[in-house]
Amino acid sequence: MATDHRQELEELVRAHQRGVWRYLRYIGAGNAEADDLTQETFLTVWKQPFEQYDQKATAAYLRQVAKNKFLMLLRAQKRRPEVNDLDAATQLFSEFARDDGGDAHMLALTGCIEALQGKAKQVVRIYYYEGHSRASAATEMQMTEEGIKTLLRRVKDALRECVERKLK
Amino acid sequence: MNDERDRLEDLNIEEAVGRSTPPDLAERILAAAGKRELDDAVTPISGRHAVPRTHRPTGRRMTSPIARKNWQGAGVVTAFALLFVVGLIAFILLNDPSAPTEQDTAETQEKTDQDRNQPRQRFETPTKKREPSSPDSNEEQPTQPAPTDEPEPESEPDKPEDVVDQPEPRAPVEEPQPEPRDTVKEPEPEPEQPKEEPVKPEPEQPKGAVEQPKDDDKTEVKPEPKKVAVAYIPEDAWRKYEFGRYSVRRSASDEWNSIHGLEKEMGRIWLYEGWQLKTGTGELYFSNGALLQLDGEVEFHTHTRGLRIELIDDDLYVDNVASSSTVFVTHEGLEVEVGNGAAVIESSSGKLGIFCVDGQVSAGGKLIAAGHKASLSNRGLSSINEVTRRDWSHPLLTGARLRQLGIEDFDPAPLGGMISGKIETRTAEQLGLDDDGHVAVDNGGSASVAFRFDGDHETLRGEKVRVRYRVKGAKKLILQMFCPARNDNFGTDIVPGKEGEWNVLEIALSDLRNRETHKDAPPPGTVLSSFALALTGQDDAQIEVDWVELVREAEFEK
Repeated sequence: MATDHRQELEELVRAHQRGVWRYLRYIGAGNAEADDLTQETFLTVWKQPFEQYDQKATAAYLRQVAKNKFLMLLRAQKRRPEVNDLDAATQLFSEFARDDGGDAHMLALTGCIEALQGKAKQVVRIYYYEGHSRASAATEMQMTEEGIKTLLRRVKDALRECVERKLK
Repeated sequence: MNDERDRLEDLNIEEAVGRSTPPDLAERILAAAGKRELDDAVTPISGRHAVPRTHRPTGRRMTSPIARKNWQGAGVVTAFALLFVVGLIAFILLNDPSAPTEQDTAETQEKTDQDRNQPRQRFETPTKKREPSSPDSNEEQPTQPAPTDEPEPESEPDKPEDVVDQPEPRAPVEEPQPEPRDTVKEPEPEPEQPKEEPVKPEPEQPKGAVEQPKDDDKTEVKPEPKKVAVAYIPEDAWRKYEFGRYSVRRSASDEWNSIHGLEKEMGRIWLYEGWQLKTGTGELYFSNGALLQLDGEVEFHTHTRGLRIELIDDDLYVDNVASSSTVFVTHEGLEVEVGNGAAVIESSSGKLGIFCVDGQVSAGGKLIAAGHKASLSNRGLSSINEVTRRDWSHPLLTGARLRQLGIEDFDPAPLGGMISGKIETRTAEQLGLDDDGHVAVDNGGSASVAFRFDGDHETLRGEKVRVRYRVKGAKKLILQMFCPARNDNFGTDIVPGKEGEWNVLEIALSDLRNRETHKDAPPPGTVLSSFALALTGQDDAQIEVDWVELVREAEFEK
């Protein structure tokens, strides 16, 4: 691979790989699938070079290629997409991702999660980090399943507000 | 829409807590790109199986201005020419008695086909076979991005099969090579840590070994460079901080990530040569057992005489007393050697402030003894002065963690063997902990839990023994450790804690006494071979021991 071209590809990958990977996970790819499809996405655009107008347009273009790759995979595996409305989901993701693939959002979110205290922090650890079900988390936290559901809803609301504050 | 929003938020939180984080695929993608380019170089340049050239110096196709019909005309002429030549050869061969038979020709052709196909088959993958068509040739791809938010994909016109770019000369693809095995001897597991896993270097590859082709080029990306585990974060440390206390990256060009996505081995998160770590007052251990407390950013390396840590920013405290190898702390070309000692080292604009806490350290060709400090710059070492009271109140010292030298938690049974007591399972509730586990238990009026260390343990300055235990019906407890050299025990009597409740006992070895003379404490360097906690009490008394830990606390001569 010529050095210049390799460098172009490397820069493209380093700038956009997280955004593409997150998008693929969001529209229903598993972790390993997202790894493979992210790779295929970059290899495809590398074979068909394009002009990069700006980061946002490039990110959108990469997402489109990634979506096609994912849909092909679903067809091949006779799977149905987990996300009902892919267009709406893609629009939502582009709002989240902005022009950095969601890095700024994730940084803010990490800070907000670190600031959680008490039961809010505990439920995030049990449900999201350790991967317990709501029922299992309820047992762990000696709460009802409904109580966990409410707590999770409140935690997500609080995190959303916190992230919005940080990104303003 | 709310479902989609919920899904996005859930995934984001999972990523933020480190459960599912985007991996760094750059190396893998670049390697795959290199391989595909190599693959293209051996594929036919025309015909049905042609693979379009993948790399052009510019974004413009050079084939489009050439009218297809011109090539079709040329093709007809070429086909007639070929037909004539083939007919001529066939005529000559049929009249030549030494010509190979039809079977020979078929075999030769088959072999030739196999040979030609060989390089391409190497890269065929199950995934590709699953797909209905090759994405390279048939997949509908979006066009160039317009400066809009979401450009609509459009079909790229199919490339005519018989119009293919000619191969261009290209630089050979660099195949990643495993780095040569580091010559540093891996630190051996300390004998006093019977349960701890030694550093696991990856198996040596014989020189000249050829990597076997794999089925899937998506996974055969780049042989992992040989990694040397330099340090680890113990389970209690990374669990304690839950989120965000430690950030790690595999090289200076990578992004910082939470450590929670990293693989755990026996509860430990290993950090490898070349990795960088930053943390605000987090503790970790070098693979030689030395304790490192860090408030800043470092990079891990090996050293011909031990382990090296590049202090990129801020401060660290390292306790390397009686470790199996030397720790070198470097900063912008400056080097401090921490052999049998402990020190606080601060980086500040091209200088290193060194404060020896225990033992001695060397820098700039001079030794700095415990209770002394100096500054190292590219002009050499400053004068060495005694530390002040203020120096002792350094946050890394006031918050200094105990350095774990070894632990026995009876899961599995002690490698040196039980002397008395048996191993039983307890639920998390019975243990008063988050997880189920094992305890050593014994019953009766003189019940005791005793076990041999996995090899003799040589005591250190500032060493303590910590025990989590629970007793019922006990009037007195005796803790003792056997010294084979004296053929006697060092121990102490203990007032039992609350009946039926878990207690944690912590005793400095300097508070133990020879059980015969009741006078001498075991001096540092005493070799001990076993541990025992015994009770005297009622006939139905019981003793349970959850774990026994040997730790070291730096002795500050304040």
